[in-house]
Amino acid sequence: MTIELGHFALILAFAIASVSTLGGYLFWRRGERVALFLQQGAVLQFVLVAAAFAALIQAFVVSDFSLALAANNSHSLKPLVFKISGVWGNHEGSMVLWVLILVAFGAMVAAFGKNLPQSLLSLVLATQSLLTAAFSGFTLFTSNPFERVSPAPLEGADLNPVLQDIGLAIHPPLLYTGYVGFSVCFSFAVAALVSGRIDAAWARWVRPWTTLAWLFLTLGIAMGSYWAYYELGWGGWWFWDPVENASFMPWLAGTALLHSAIVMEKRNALKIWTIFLAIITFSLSLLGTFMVRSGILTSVHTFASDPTRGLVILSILAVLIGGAFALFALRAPALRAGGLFAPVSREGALILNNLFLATALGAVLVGTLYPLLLDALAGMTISVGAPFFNLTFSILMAPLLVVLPFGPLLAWKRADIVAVAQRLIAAGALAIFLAALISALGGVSVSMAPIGLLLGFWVAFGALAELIERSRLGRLPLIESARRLAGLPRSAWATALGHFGLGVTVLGIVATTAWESELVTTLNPGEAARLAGYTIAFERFEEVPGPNYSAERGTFRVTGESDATRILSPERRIYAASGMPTTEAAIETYGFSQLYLQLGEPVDGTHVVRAWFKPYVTLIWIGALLMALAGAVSLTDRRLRIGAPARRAAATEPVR
Amino acid sequence: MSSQGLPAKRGWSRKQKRLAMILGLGLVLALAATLVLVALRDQIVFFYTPADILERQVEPGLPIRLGGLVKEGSWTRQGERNTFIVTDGGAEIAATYSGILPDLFREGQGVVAEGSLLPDGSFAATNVLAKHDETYIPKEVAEALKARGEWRPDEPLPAEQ
Amino acid sequence: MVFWSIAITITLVACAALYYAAAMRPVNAVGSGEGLDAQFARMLAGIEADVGAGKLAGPQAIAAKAELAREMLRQKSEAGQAPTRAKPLRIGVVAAGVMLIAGLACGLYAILGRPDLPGEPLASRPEIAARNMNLEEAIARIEARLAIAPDDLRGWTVIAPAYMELQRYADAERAFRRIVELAGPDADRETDLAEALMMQAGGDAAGEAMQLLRSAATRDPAHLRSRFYIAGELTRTGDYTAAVEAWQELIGLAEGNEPWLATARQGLAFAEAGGVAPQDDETQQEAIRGMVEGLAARLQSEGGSVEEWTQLVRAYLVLEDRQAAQAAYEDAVAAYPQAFDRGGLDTLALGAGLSLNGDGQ
Repeated sequence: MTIELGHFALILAFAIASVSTLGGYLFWRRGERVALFLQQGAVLQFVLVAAAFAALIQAFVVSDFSLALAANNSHSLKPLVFKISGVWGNHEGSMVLWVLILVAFGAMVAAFGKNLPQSLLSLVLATQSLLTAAFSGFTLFTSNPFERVSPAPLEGADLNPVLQDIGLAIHPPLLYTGYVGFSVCFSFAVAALVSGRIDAAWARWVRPWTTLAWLFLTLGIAMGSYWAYYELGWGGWWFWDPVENASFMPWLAGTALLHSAIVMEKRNALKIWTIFLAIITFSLSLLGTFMVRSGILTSVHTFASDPTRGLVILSILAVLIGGAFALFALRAPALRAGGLFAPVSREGALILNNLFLATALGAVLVGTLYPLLLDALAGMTISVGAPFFNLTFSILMAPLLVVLPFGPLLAWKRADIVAVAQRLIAAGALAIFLAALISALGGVSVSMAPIGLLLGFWVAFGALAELIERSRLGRLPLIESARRLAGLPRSAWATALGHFGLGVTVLGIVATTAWESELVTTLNPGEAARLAGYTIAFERFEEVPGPNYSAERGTFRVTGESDATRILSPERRIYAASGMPTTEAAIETYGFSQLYLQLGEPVDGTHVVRAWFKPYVTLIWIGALLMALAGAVSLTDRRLRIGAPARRAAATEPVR
Repeated sequence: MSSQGLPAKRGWSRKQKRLAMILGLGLVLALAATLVLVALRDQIVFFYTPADILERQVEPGLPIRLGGLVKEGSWTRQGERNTFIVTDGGAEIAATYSGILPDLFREGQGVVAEGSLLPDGSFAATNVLAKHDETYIPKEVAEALKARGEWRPDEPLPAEQ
Repeated sequence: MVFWSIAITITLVACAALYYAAAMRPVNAVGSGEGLDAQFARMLAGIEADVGAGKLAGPQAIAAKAELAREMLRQKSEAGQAPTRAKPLRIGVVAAGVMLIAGLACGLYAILGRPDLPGEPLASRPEIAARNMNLEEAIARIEARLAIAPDDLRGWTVIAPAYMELQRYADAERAFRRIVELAGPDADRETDLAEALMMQAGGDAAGEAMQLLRSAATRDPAHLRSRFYIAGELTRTGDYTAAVEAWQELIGLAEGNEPWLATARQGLAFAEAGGVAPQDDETQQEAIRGMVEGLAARLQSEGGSVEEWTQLVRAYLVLEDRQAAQAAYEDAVAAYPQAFDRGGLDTLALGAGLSLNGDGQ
């Protein structure tokens, strides 16, 4: 009965969301009563969808195959963690997770939004409810996860083996939290447009939500990249696959939004642009989630798509996004422009940041959609592959990286660029020195490597320069500097950490691309091969049973020049229920570098082994983690803490 | 609302400043657009079936994607070097690939290979795509095969047992 | 109805929470929100901080503050012209909204939901319970329960045929006796007990078994199984006159197409001939096979009860045709997909070592 109660809970949540939408938009001017109703409704939606989700998890855990979703995607022999993650390893279940996160954000707005003006709160919650109603309705009517089978089969069809990985337990929830988090920005933007009220306070309410969503999206993309890296066995960490692009585009837009919201909060400028970005970011999130499901894009992420479902989802997207932009076109001109500033100023730098992020976003968008358009219009089948993205993206990002360290050091309104440049001389010199040194030592195999290194170091050191500058390190006694450093606002730390993380990621990308070495060779047990100073000895090959698969495992003994011997065991698995083979690469980390070993299918008793040595590859993800950490630090900033600002501000800062 | 309170370093008026800024932004955007268009022209990869390649006489060395079915009984492996024949029911192209083929590379299954033609008319693959789902058929392959009447969506692939 | 009562309770709680939140509290028409002053105070503090950090020179800071002040004045004048306040929402509207929610949820669920379907967690499903433990384990568990609750009729009913399968006839006898004690005697129960006694005695139905069979036959004038055994026993003991009578009575009860009819006719012929087998063994086997095929054909084309399917599977097992038995079992499963409908069939199949895995496919 839990299944049916879960079903009922989801339907009840849909009903509350529908009525909240209607009531919110009709009566948002009518004061506190509406806001209280919507707040309570948002909390109830969360509780009910959480109950529905729990019912699904329960059915998967006890292998209740009378639930069609469990019968199609689970297997009684699957380990518990994969039974749970299997709930969202499919279209219907992932929709429920998506809606769950949506209502969680709605409930958070309701809980922390007590300080918001009532009309704004009502409009924000009404918009959140509209999204909930649209997507829970879509879930219930076209892809109901609570569909039953009677009689129930005795065994499930099992989950796609590629998805039977801890990555599935982590990646989608993180990514969805990122995508869906931007719904709050979207709702705030719509509310601002409807009410016509937008000011610096608005930006201060929106910024923490942007930061929160951006933080999770960063983690989600990094996690997804690492997952693809170790699970797909192709040795790459980014493929410019349409789905990867679909998650990357909202990240670019979200990063721009993060920065433009600062300008709006501090200087009350860039209002219209910030609203526009908020709408764009969430629209791209929606496209990211649903383009792949509409069947327009095919990729490894595609769930079985059905044409009706695709049409419904496209119409929902068209109405939501189109409606938001129509509203924007109608109301944005009424918004008043804010404070003025000189081109050389913090505002100017942030505009530059937005400009380059937006053009990079445009390039990715064009590259992703161009094949679709060409196919639809001219009937030509082409693919826009990694070379296009690598070329355009790196050229568009390079100037951004060049100017990035200047930004945080510039003053608002009008700044002295010469003075700032002087402060950055040390960082620049150090970056040039290191880039030259490493290029000389490492041998330059890719001509762009020194430039890439230079940019990476420049961004990383430039980020630290602000901290050094503000703590007067070297000019004051060490203890005094440390005290100043500790006393810096969290937002300054967040800026430095985030930019430093970006530099680290750039360094990882450049180092891996330039100095990666690869080996493909026939290797049989008893033989050994060498790669990048490591001796890879194939010890034995054996069959090993797993819980719901059988594996062929190769055992390799890897000896580095100055390192203890390590054992690597890549596998090839055949999953019992589906008969699908998968490759499990073995990855060993040496410092920041990794050795990646993949075992081919044996033919006539001979084995092919593919090995990569990827220098400093982990920096890519470490940098992303640092960026996410920066988001977390920024959220702990007193002035930005969700819900706290108004009260705190009133308490700690004397009014007049 | 005006900048008169600020010491004006340059003698530009508000309008001029704004114009300069808009011009600057426009310039960057124009450059970016040019870059994207040029890159699109140079970097896109055309998708061909074996028949297309024979018909259009694709130049050797040009990066292309070749899609079709792996011909039954055509896959051989010597060490890490694989050779197989890609067919679309009519035309056939011999392909070579060094490395580990994807898990779902099977004779009779759809395949998309990235690479270029060699002067002898065979295809040297640098990358072979076969996605991780046994029901997955690369869209381009499905469409090309449909166009040639080789594949109907509700039936298994003709070459499959 | 348990489901609906819970669902309606949930709806009522949710609606009450909504109504209470919106309608039952004293409210202001328009809330205060954050004052502009606090916001500008903070911006002012930000400028001071920038001055302190050396990012803003003195004159620049003064200019920035001046601009801030102007902006504040502008915004305040805007706020003053705010549109007149609307009337607060009436409670009736809230109540209507709440009722709309309740109606929408229940109506939609009635269309989409399947309140009649119970959950079927794998572990508690009979097929899996049977597959996951062998018959002895299952019996041991039931025995343990019966030791605590000896009046559990269901337990005895389950365990008795299982004892028979395992050829533990003494235990089966004890179990069937208990069933008769608990549920009172009727034709079937008495025959079951007699069966257990006969099996213990190696097919000899003398004494108590015969008494029970006769009692069953008298109790139910149309009871076939007891009459079958009586006729068989009479034939076995050589009382051919009585046997002929018994066989004739049995055949008289038949409607003409029963699977056992052929056997009964053979028995009759045997008794009439005074104990001389009218046919040799091979032809008899042939006849049995023909009878089984007939039953199979009928079940295939017209379907039949679970008991008939069970009989067919058992017949194939007796003929030592495992393949056919397996096929018949699978057909039976296809005809009766719900495990609890199949009753003794699964037990029989399991005891005979047939594969249960093909269920539901």
